[in-house]
Amino acid sequence: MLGIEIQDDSSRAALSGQLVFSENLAFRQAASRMIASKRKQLVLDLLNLDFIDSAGLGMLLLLREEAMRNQQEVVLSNAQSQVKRMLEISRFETLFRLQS
Amino acid sequence: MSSPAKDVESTVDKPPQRALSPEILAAPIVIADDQEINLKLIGAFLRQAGYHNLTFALDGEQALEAIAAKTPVLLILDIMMPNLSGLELTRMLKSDPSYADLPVLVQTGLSSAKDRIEIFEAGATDLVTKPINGPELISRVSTHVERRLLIKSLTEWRQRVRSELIAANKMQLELLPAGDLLAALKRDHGIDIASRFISSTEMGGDFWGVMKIGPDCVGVFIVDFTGHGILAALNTFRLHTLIQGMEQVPASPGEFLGALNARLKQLLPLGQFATMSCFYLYPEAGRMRWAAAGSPPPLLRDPAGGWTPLASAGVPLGVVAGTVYPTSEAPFPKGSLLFLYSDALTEAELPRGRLGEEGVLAVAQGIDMKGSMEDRLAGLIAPLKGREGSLDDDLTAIAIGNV
Repeated sequence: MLGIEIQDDSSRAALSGQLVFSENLAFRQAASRMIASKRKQLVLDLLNLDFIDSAGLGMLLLLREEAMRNQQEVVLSNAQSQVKRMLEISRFETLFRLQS
Repeated sequence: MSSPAKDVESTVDKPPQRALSPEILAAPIVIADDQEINLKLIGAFLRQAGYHNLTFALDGEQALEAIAAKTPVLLILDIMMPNLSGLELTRMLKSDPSYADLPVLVQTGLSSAKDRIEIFEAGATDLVTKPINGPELISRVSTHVERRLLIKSLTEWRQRVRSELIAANKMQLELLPAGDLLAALKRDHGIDIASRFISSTEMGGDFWGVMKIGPDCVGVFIVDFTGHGILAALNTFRLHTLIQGMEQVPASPGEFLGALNARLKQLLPLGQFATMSCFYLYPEAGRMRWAAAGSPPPLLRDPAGGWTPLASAGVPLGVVAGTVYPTSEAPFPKGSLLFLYSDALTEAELPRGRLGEEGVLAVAQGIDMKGSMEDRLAGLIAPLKGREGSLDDDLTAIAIGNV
């Protein structure tokens, strides 16, 4: 299960649980809302995200692409354990701003 | 048995309630009743609605013959008939796998709840009470015929898709290195490879291969495309084509990944990518070079028995054009063992949670190094033993020894 809590003016969302293929639709809907906030910086708080698979990484890349098209930047913050490891192994620090 | 005259309630001149497709109207229907007048009446209702593939039977035995000859889509059945009663016939049909799915619409004069329950318990799909009301009969018949045809076409479609998937799966397996190629590598280069490919519920995006790169160099790679299912599987065919189409093998594993990345970036839709590790092995010289694009860390065992996870971080292929993949180098003397695996191994949900990279390393440190390369590989993926049928993702595991 993926939990998505959209915060502030929709430029920030806290994810919890698992970001995997089956959560595609829920994540995309949240991503659209974040993009629509028109804020320069979109923050995904990953503190309570326990697991991400390659499809989940793909969803982050889609968000990044959409954000770039709108001159927005995606920040991934507080990634823990497996999620942190997956971001490292895929060198996502070269693609996103990572924050702890 | 009620008298035929009493069975007639409505006239036959009511129009059909809805438009029925030619396929529905051509559906073979068997009607069984020992009263000829009832057969005529039901036949008239059905014909007026447009049904034209009707077969009539005057008792249960005739009905059985008609069913065998016509493979009907619906049976309309009277309960009280000589020779074989409607109830007996229904029970027989329901216990025969070839006819168990045939809908049985029972027409009955019996009206108590107990009688109705007995009819349904025998296996009837639905019932109409006598005297038969034409529009009601047509509505029920049309519903059952439509439903039956729909189920039939869905079943046929599913069977076709399944057989096509089996064929596609076989094609995908044929992309993997053949036994004679692996035997030649062992004979000519002392590279002994054991591999396992366990596909998950559907087709998947795993792929691996070997390449003869030079007189003293063998290439091995492992790839995992995002997601699974047909899309991911199609990408493995694309990649196979790209690699086959290379005019010459790039000079280093890093350049190999760089070249594939450039093509995959053009080919793959956004959000799809591949993780990959590529090794150039020099068994005579006892060394190897490798580059990786985000695959789970391969494990290297030195001849003294120490296991080391190899650096495998890298932006996956197909994400960013122009990504540079550095090439690393390590000793690979005789007695070394290299273990490559897809993330199905680290991500498999075991009773104690996911195995993770640490778990894979711990298992490797405990394996028995006696026996064949196949035995060692079996040890390396032992945590998945017995779970092969329930993996969420494809598993590819390859053990490569310099022997």
